[in-house]
Order: sequence, then C-alpha cells, then structure tokens
Amino acid sequence: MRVQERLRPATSWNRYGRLLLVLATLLWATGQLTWAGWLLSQPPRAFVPESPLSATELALWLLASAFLGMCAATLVATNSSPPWAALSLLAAVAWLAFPLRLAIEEWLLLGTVSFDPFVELAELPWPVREGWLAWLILCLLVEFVRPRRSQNSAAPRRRANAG
Amino acid sequence: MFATPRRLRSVTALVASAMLVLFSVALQTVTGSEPGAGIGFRPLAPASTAPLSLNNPAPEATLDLGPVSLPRGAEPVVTLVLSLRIELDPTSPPGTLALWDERGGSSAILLRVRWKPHPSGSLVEWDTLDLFEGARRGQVLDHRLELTVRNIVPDDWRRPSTAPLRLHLSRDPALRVRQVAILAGSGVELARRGPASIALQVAVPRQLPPPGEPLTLRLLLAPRGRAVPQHVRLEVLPSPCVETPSPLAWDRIERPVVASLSLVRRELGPCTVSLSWTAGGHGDTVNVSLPVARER
Repeated sequence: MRVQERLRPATSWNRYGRLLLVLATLLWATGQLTWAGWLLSQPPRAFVPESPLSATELALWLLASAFLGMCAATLVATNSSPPWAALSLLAAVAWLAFPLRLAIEEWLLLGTVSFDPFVELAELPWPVREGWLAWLILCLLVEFVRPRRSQNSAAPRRRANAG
Repeated sequence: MFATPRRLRSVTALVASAMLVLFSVALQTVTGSEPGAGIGFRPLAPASTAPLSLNNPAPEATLDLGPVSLPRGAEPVVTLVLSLRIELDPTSPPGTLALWDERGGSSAILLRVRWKPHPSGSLVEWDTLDLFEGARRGQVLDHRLELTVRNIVPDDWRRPSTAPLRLHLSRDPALRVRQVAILAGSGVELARRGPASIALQVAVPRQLPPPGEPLTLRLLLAPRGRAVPQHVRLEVLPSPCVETPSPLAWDRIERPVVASLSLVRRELGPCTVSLSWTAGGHGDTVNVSLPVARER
C-alpha cells in the first residue's frame, strides 16, 4: 500500500501533465490554423507579417506545422507510453526547418550558407518555432528523466515483492 | 489516456483534428478578420459627420483633428494618411502656404503649396516628401487642390498612447485661403510592413585578390515591405580603399535576384566598403568588411 501511495502522484502527474500538454498543443495548433486561414484569404500585403516568405507560403508553413503539432498531440493522447524519442526528433526537424529553408535558398542563390538556428524567430506570425523548441526541450527532458524515475521506483517494488 | 480501444481513440483524435482544421481555416478564410489586435485603418472622423475644416484661416492657424489612440508598445508601422482639399481665393496675390501635422511635438507630413496667379491661367504648385515615394511635386491649373498625402510617423509621434492630432497651417499674410478641409479617407493605418525595401546579403570570396585585380562580390537582393520595390539603385559609396564602380539598377524587384559587383582594391590592408541601396523614397546602407588581401 505504501508503494502504491508513492507511485500515485507520479501517475497523476503523468496523466494530467500529458492532458495539459495535449490541450496546450491543440490551442497552439488552432492559433496556427487561424493565421493560415487569414493568410489564405489574400489579405493586404501591408498587414502580412514581414517575412522572406510569401503569404501563401507562410500559410502552407503554418498548416504543415499545425498538422504536425496535432499528430504529436494525438500520439501523446492515444499512447500509454508515447514515443518521446521520435517526438523529440520530429520537434527538432520542425524547429530547424525554417532556418534550413532560408539557408538552402541562400546557398542556391548566393553559393554561400549562413545557418543560425536562433535567427529570425519573429518572421512567422505565431510562435511556431518557439513552440517546437519547447516541444523539443520537453521531449528530451521526459526521455532522459523518465528512466531514472523508473529505476528509483523499481527498488521499493522489488522490496515489496520480496516481502 | 482514455478508456477506449486504441484504434478508436486514434480515429476519434484524427477526426477531431480534421474538424478543427476545417473549422479554423474556413472560418478565418471566409471572415478574413485579422488575427492580431489593432491592425487596420482608423479614420480620423466618422463618415457621417461634417468634414473637419478651417474657413478663411489666419496666417498661423491650427485645426484639431481629435485624439488618436494607439496601442502601447505596438510593433506595427504607423502611417498617417491625410486627404486634403485646399481652396484658395482666385483673386489672391501670389504666396505660399505650409501645412503640417503635429502629435506629441512631432510631425510626419509637410505639404507646401504655392499660388501663382497669371492672366493666362493661374497655377497651384505643391510639393511634399514621404518614405513611400520620396519627393512628390505637382501642379494644378485651378485655385482648388485635392490631394492625399501619407507618411510613416516618427517614434515621438507614436509614443503617447492617447494624444490629440493637430494640423498646423502657416501662410504668407498676403495669400488668401478660403478653406482647408480634411476629407473622408483620412486616418491612421497600423500595418505590419513599411515601405518597399530590400534585404541585401553580400558574399565575399575567401581568397581576396591583390590590389589592382578585380574582386567580385556576390549580392542577393530580396524584396521586402508592403509593395514591390521599384527604381532600385545600388551603389558603392566612395571609399579610399576601392575604386568606385558604376551603380547597378533595376526597374522593379519582385523576387530575390542575384547580382555581381566588381571592385578594384587600392590597398592591401583591411577595408570597409559601404553599399547603399535606394528604392523609391526609402534606402539603407550595408557595410562590408574586406579582410587583408594577398600580396603579389
């Protein structure tokens, strides 16, 4: 009984923490979809955020990011043990995609590359890259912190079984 | 997370996501409402009210255009748009009239009007300057002038969140002005993009040739701002360490373009070259540092 009491808060954190993550991700994805819809309505160029991307490409970028975000939320919501390593890889790709796209365009046109993963965060109208960076940090934390927690909880369980 | 079979949960989540996508995108595309707060055009006066005007103004006069409310700490580009009708007395002697706005002790627009009466046809000349089109001037063969002027406001103008906007008028005492009216269409626009501009990137070769031999810089010019940059001109500002090449020019830049610029260095040592671009009434300068060149 003592072992179960110890484990309960961790299980509860896991359950409600994941629920919170899923809801926050869906809210974030909804913001991206809202922006994508507005950009697809051909707004005046003066009101479109300053960006190297056209309004249509910005909209497609946001749609793709929102879709990926919802896939990640679905994986977390429907799996008892989500693939955190794969999700961290997905988040890393999504986070680096925008500076990579700029670097590839620069290389194709200018023949030289300057790649800075933290540059030009403000050029997407919604915190898309910041959101993916948060996802990346969260997934890496869960991936690296979780094994230690299971090792710690394994000792009392073995003792309980032995008793 | 939920007590249902895994496949059903996945399908439910996917259907819910698809509905969310369809609803959000469709709603925003159909309504076209702007997601960020405050962006858009704010007219100075409601269309139903009579136009703001000064009738037979004194040589120094002021017209109160009412308070202008701007969001605090706003990033957007604030543009003042004034649509004016100026009516002079056709029997007035020649003279000059100046009009400018004022908010928070700062001004965005200055319009000068000159009245040149002549027996064969009187003339109104006007000129102004803005960041969108640079210097503008024109002539009207009439004693009435209708004109829309706009400019991006300076930082001091936009700093107070709520402050009155005034139109100041100054005229030669001899010049007789019948009316200065603010027409519908005047207001303040809060936008995300400024005037047409260029993002300039410069690639310098790793191995620099010795002085006297040509050095080629590769340039990438990408359009920015609310409009397509037109009449783009790129030149190297005079520098003691390079020979000034002839400037490059484009009618308009709709997509990123690549250009090469040949320079001839005069010295071996480190050198800074200033590249200046202009597009309409807007421009900027980019400094490029050239490292020490090879010796022969």
